[in-house]
Amino acid sequence: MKQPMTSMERVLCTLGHREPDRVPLFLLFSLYGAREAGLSVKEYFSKPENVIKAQIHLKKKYQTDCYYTFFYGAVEVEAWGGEVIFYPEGPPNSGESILRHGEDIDSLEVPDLSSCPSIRRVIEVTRELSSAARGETPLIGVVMSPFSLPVMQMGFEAYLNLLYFDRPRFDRLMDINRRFCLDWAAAQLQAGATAICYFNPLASPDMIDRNLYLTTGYPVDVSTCAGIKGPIATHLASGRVLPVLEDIIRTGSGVIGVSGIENPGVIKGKAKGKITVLGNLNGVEMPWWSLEETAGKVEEVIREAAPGGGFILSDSHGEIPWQVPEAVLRQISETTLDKGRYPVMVED
Amino acid sequence: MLDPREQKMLDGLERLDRKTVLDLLTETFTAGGSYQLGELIQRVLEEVGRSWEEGRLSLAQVYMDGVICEEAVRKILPADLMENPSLPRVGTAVFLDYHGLGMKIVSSLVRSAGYPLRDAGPGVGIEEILSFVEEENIQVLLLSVLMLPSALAVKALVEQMAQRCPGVKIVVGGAPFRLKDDLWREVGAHRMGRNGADIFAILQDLREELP
Repeated sequence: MKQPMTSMERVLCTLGHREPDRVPLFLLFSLYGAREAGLSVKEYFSKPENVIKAQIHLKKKYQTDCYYTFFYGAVEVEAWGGEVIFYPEGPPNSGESILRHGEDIDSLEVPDLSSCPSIRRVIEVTRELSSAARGETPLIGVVMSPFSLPVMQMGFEAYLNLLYFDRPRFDRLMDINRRFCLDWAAAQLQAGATAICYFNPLASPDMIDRNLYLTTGYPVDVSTCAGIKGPIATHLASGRVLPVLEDIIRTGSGVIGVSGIENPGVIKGKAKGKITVLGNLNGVEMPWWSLEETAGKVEEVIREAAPGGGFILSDSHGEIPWQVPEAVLRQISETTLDKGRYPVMVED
Repeated sequence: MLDPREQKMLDGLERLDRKTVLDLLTETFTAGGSYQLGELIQRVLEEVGRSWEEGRLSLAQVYMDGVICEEAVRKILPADLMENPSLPRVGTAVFLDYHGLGMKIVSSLVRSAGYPLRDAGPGVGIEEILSFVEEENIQVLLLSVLMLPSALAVKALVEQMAQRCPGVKIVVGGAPFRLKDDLWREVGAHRMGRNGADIFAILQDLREELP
């Protein structure tokens, strides 16, 4: 009997726009590991061994095809000396802005990664999981795009005013953030990350109109992606992708995360042979799905986007919410293993 | 369908042309008073909201449009005429979360239309909101949330509000409510806005339900 592919073989095959043995499944567990471990979110992320153990356990439990070394977005704010606010059963948020006035940008410097405890913990998790993976499971590291990071550094409102009315300081901030992003991506790749997920919600036309993006954030994204020495998956974190899909393809990104409000089949049609589609189960709805609904949603996405390869089943935001019941995750996994076998034959 | 004057204002907003918008609103106020001023702003910003909903405008553009209108109204109206006392008192809060852009947009729209508005700020919890509503005599409370746990926590707030401040209407908005259509009903909110400009129709509707 033919051996099933390893997760790495499966993912590499689909990234090559060919059909592997079955559809790869990326259940992106970050804070969900705390729920699984019976720990508070803060306690869970305080020790690398908690995350390592949970990632290995969750991969086996749900037969997901990657390790996800992402803790929470605000890890990057901690690197700049910012505070993080922890919530029960939800993702940590960045606290008070680190850039309170435009002038703060004038004296801003790229922080030293090694001086930040939470950054060091992510690196240790990456190193240990890389060792556990033995080349058979891809490890996905995460960076925030230099263009999207300022929402956490200075707040969205202040950032929009900078973007519209203070281009010199915007350019300086982009230069500093770009250098930080490249350091952070390089550190994760060096520790064993297979690929970097490049979170960039502001590239979505839901947030910034495409014309403004193309003259502000896009050149920054192009040069940053060119400087990351590893494969890149761009994720707009629930923002619409289609109007900027071709732009993202030109950054050299190999994967695109698709929002829950878009038809993955339409995106796949445009992306075929050029970029792999990741998505797009609605994580916010998942806690209320029945098992039948769950199976139906998975089958629908597979039917739309899986034929021909170039597709990874995942959620639409880049994180499984704490509130999703185990039974729903098991159903997603079982349906993918069953209906996601190539050649896919899912009845309409 | 917008009339030529409304279309001209919309075009001005699209170009971030503060002068055109201010001139147009000043002419409208001079000719028809604050009622016509509010009507024009509402009509145009409702179109802006629809355009965002349909993917033709970005959140950044919606934000800038609200700011430009609010700035213009502040310049046109004397401070004591900014608020129309016959309209319900509206309170705003970013519930448990700290991302306030959505609420900033809604606040700009509500203020531009003359509603008396008070803000509890970001990151506020249940007890702070209840005290705020009592102290400010709020009749309609607008809540913005970013995270799913915050959206779910609205249920406890609604229950306690019904005990302490019966009659207060709670309107919710934010990503979790947009991504799960019926979530606002499950947490017991009275209305949900999918975009900032929905607030005009919601407030109009709620005025008939207020005690």
